[in-house]
Amino acid sequence: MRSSRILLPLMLAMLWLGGCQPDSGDNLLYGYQTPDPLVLRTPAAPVPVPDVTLAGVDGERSTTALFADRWTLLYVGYSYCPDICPTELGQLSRILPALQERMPEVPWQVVFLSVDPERDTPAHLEKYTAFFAEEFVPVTGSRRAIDRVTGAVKAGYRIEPHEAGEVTYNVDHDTSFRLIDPAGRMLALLPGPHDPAAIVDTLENFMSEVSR
Amino acid sequence: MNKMMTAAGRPLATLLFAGSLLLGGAAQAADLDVIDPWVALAPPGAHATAAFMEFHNPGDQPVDVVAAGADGFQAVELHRSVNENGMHRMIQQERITVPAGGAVHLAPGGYHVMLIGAERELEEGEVLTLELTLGGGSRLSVDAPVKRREQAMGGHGHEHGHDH
Repeated sequence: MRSSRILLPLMLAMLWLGGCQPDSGDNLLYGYQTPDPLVLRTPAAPVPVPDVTLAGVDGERSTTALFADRWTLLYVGYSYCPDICPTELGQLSRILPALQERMPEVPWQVVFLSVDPERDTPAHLEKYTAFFAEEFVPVTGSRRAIDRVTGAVKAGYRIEPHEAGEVTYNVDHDTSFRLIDPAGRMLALLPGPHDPAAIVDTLENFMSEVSR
Repeated sequence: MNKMMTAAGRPLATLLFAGSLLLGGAAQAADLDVIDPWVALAPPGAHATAAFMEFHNPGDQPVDVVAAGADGFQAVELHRSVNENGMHRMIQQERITVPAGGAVHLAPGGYHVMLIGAERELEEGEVLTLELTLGGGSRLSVDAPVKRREQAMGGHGHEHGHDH
């Protein structure tokens, strides 16, 4: 029993990581060996995020514009989350300044994608994320737009069935951070639990090996 | 001499026995030590937040915490956050069992008291009174200050070389 519990996720991870055939010519991830797979894992090749329109604080925001000219840590969650999201956003509020200090030439940003637009309006999200860090960029969108992004980066979530207007439902969701490059491609996945110091070290290694 | 001692001893023993019965209700509550309770300051507009603490059971019987309450919330529930294959879920708990001579740590990412639908926004530093109900029906009041998560969680060795 115990081994099947471990084997299944491992097999799924291998399927995913091995799913796309690397094109070594144009694949900047080709040959990259992560120093610590518990902190950072790479897909076989960059995973493009489709260009969809999301809802940001200042109105509509395309994913292309959202990710352009920035290196992004993307976190998927919801603001009514009582425990995990505040903890993870708190970790990101430590990680972001550390990345900026360690790699001042890299324009880092943190994007929080709420999969719960029914309760999370952009105005509400702005107040929510500013509690952790003023510079966090909150977005949400239509279910269809959200699902195209989460589907591409394989960030699963499940909204508890509820009556219209009910506000106490839970949302199960993936807790990994995702590293998105300025071309809007996911280059790496950072699974929890998140240790800010280890993440900053590993991202520094990754950036020096892969992206420069 | 002997007889007198016994006669005088008996009421005293009876008193002590009655006293221990009286204390029985409280003693059960006292069987659970609650250490370092705190409530996470909620971001503005958050619908829910959580209270954390450590339960220590010095007794030789397991102690169940079966409910928690606090004034000023629509609902207070016992929950556990779990991470399965990278997916985070929250599961409501009917009870949190503290083993005999053991401890259960309510901490971010694990067991917590979920405080749902605050009637007003909490302020950093204010103290909430939580009431815990144990399996035997006895109750225990806990004063939990409201803290920012990063302060309450600091000092766990996650911040090497980070200085603010």
